[in-house]
Amino acid sequence: MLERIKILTLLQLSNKSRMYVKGSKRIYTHIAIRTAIIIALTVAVTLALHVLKNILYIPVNEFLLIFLLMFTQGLNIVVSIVSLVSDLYQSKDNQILFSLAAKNDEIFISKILVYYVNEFVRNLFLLIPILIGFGIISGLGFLYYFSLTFVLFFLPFISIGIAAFISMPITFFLNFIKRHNLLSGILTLLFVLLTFYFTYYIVNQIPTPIRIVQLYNRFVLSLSLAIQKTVKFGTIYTAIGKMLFGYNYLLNLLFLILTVSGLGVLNYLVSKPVYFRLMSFSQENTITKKIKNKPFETRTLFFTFFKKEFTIARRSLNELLNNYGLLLTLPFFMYILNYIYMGMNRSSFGNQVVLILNVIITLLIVTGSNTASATAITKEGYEFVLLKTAPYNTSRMAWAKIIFNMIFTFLMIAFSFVLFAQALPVFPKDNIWLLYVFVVIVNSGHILWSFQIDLLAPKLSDYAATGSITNNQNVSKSLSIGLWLSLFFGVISIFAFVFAKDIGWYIMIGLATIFLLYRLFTFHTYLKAYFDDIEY
Amino acid sequence: MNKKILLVLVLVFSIFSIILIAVWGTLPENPSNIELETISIAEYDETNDDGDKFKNVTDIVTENDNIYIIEYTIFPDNANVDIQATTTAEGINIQVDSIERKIYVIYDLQSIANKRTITIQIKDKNTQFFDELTLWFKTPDVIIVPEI
Repeated sequence: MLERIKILTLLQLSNKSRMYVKGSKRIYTHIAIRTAIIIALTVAVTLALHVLKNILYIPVNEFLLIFLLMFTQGLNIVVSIVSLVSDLYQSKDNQILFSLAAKNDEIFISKILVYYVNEFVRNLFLLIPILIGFGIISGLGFLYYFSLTFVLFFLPFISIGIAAFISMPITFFLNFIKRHNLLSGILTLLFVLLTFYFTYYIVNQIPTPIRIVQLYNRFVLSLSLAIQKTVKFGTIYTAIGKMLFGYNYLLNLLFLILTVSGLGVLNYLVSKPVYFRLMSFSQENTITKKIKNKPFETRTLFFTFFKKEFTIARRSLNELLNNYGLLLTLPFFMYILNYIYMGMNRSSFGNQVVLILNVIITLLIVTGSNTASATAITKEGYEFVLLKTAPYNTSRMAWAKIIFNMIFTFLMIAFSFVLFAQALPVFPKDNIWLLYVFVVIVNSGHILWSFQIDLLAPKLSDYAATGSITNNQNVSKSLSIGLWLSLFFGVISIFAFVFAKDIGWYIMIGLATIFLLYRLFTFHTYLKAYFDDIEY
Repeated sequence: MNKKILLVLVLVFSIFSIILIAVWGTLPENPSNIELETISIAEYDETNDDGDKFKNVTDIVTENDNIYIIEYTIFPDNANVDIQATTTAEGINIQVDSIERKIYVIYDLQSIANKRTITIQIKDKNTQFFDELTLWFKTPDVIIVPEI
């Protein structure tokens, strides 16, 4: 068994690590560069701790070290869960490994060992700087540095042990929601609402009227107290911290060894019956469609394409989130910033500045969410050629895609503004809804502009070859235009809200409407002139 | 240009906007000029013959709860004060919350293990009025000996 695990581990390690020719001196360069990075990081952390202790007056004591251990290892656990779900259950090498003469639990252990080696190396760049920096600042002795050596080996075991155990129910849950798209959508919405409520709760703890200096002092105070108090919940990390400082040394060391052994045994026993089942259900080809829907015939070509957009969105929620994820941050930015603006004792000039800043920040976020239109034709890839062979006016697909993008963003923006209006009643309601109208008009113009960019230079063959829109120039152009639009209307709003405040909103909405009509005209013209000429 | 850069831009711009309003968009402060008459720590267990205040923190400050909170009062309530808290003891960090009128005394593990006795002084920097409190881990049958 051990021999098989060793072979499996080495097999995977050789596949996932950078290999050097035997006797090559490049390996020494590799080690030297990494050692230099660790030393540089150690110096940086030591300086940062010095600043915390002597400038910010945050207590640099055992409790801070325990907090740092909890924080870094907590992040490690989250990252490890994500990686292990992918490595253990969804990895393509499973198909090869499971065809070898090895048992399921041996493959499981070998994969965990491979992950441990990588995690150990990654941790060196994080733990050595923090722990040595702490030792230098606190003037700690031999026992501390001696204990570090085995803590460095044990810590990755703990985070991977916890992550591997949690990854099992998470994989089960992911497999379940992969088959229930509606549930996935509802959960995403619930998550956004809960996060917003949490943000609302946290932000409301800021005392008003807000004074920036006092706010800073209170932040440092709250941070210090939070760091000291979280130690109560540190469990094994509290024990490690206390052990490093020589407090109940042997007792805490025993606790550490028992925890590591316990996690190992627990993972082995639980994974043995469930690993293969979870892995096989995570593969793409295990998805079976039980109910066959009858094809639904739409009356017009436009609705056929429009319905297709909804079907694509429903089937690929990840892509939808990728396109419109930035828009989900809009209510958070609007609420947090305006709570702070409203919390300050503003002059009348301050009120005008608040409006100007809202125009710029809202437009920046909203126009950054139109990348779906900037890649609308590109994403058709190879299928676009087939689509054009249909004996219809296929340019209507452009309108279907635009209307889908518009409806989706309008709803998301409306949702953000409703949340904003409810959560911050002190902000003038007229301004909220006039800003909404203005943003929707400018955004519509930007959607048309983004689509036009893709219409004139679609990257069909690139997408067909790679299946990715990373580094797509059209996305880049769309985002840059959005940035310049935000700044342009920001400058206009300075004039409108400071020098002509009685007719400020008329100017803003009027200009936005002219912009939209111009974009509509040019888009329509370009679509008629160029759509038929698009080639693969 | 990509979405990550845009998000960073939005974050930077947001911080900049708060500073902008704080600097140019706010009304001038109107601090009270009422002078402090007394500052006092109300909660203590006993005093010695010199009137020094003592508080036993055994079972309050432990290795799992290393913070002791001292509440203080000022008179008049709306006096213009600039509170500073100090101690000469090592391994102790002090944080002042002037809004809630609380002093947070944060012990390190060594101070708790050694049951270190510490004296905290709370002083108004404007008037130099102050009060002091000694925090100690009282063991049974200990008598406070006054300074000679």
